[in-house]
Amino acid sequence: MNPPLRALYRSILHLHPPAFRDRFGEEMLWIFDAQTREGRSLQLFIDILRSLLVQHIDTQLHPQPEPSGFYSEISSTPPLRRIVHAAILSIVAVLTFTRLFGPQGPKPRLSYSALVSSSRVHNTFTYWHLYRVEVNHVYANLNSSSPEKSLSARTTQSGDPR
Amino acid sequence: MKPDPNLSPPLAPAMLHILLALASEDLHGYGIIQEISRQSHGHYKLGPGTLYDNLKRLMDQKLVIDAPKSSLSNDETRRLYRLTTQGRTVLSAEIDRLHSVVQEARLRLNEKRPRRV
Repeated sequence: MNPPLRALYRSILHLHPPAFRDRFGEEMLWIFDAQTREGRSLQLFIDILRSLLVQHIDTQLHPQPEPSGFYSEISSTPPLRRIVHAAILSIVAVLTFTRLFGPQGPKPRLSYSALVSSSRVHNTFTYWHLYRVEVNHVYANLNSSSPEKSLSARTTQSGDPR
Repeated sequence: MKPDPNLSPPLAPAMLHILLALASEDLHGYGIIQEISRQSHGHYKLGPGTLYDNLKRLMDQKLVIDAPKSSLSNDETRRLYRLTTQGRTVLSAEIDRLHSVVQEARLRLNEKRPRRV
């Protein structure tokens, strides 16, 4: 038996899905020990690499149901599907955030809510200020126009010679 | 579990040889490999990875099961595997299919003989 080869074989065996490894790992190692004595090391390594690929594809295609016992082994390796989902969600979240709060985001609206952002407060103040300026201007026009002026204007329009 | 359509004939060569090795007696993993080597006169040698990949599929389909503990005689530390009734049926169907293939092949070979050059 060659200890480095056995350690390498065992480490490749450890990469198999846990259910398969727990079920058949010891027996595979035992057969490896027996067949190494016949000088078939290279074939055995090709065989286990092929098995590793097959088992991972099989696990992805046919996921096993969870055992119903109180204690079960939890695989520390996150499945590829979850990694892809997490990446997609992260991209969507970043794009949404930059769209909402970026420089080309939606225009702020007038709001009286206390929970408004500082930019919205600024814009609310600006609009309110412009509104007051406009109202004052209208009032000033109304006050400046005298009743005599308005009366003469009315008589001119009606065509009265007096 | 639903029956796998891949397990109806034709079977993969490794599956056929495993079922054939278990047809006469319960065997452990290394015993299956040795029996297959013996049946094929040393031409077909299965590695442990291929053996257990196929054995797992056969066990998932209930064609092979673990032999009960009471039947373990000499080596109690090793698991023995046993062919089920369903496994035997699948094996018989595969042997029938192969038999018909062989018959057809023989007929064809006898009908059309190559011309003499």
